Amino acid sequence: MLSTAIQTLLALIQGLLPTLGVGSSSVVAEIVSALETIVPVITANAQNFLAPVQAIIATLSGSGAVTAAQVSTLQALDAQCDAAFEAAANADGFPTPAAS
Amino acid sequence: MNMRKLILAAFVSAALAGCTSVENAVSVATSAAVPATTAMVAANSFDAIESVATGYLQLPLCVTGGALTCRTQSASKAIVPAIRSGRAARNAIEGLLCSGSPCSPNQTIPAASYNTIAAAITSLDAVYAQYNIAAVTK
Repeated sequence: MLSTAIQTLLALIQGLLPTLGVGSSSVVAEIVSALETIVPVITANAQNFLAPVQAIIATLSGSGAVTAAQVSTLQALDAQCDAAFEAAANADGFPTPAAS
Repeated sequence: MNMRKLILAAFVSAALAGCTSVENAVSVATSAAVPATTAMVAANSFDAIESVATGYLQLPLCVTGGALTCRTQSASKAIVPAIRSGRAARNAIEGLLCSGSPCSPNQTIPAASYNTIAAAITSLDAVYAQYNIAAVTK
């Protein structure tokens, strides 16, 4: 139930992304405000969503320029998510493919 | 639970209110380039979706008389390659983002690259919908 709502939300953001350019600050503000509303719920019930959603908020709240720090944070989050996924996949009998 | 529903309803309403103020909201970029921030959000969205997949794979295997919240092997077989392929798209898009400092304030990435990760996310959404994944991971 909760995951469905969060995923719906992420899909919504995904749909809006291409429209978020110059002149869309009010839309960005709406999304950030909505995300901030849901963070306490995520913290209490679905912590695996917390880091990505916080990163989305940070990105959308920014000046419009992507910073090297944001890229570095994203890559750290990637590594975390990938490692957790591969551990679960391996445990279920889907071995990580050898790097090419 | 009711409070949770209430908060979620408020949240979705707020998000949809934002949606109504945008015309032509589409999931595929039609211009030649998209802002780097858009790519950042897409990459973070992929990480969130990957978290859903991880949660699903950690569920017990469905057996007769077993837990109601469980995973099936057929869903896992669909999810694992989709995530791994989406990850490649995410990594490619990140390779286009600035890695040095300072980054350009007007940085953009090619729409074709953005559309690759958007397609990966759409494809994973379809897999989740087919197997009702999001509903069973929490």
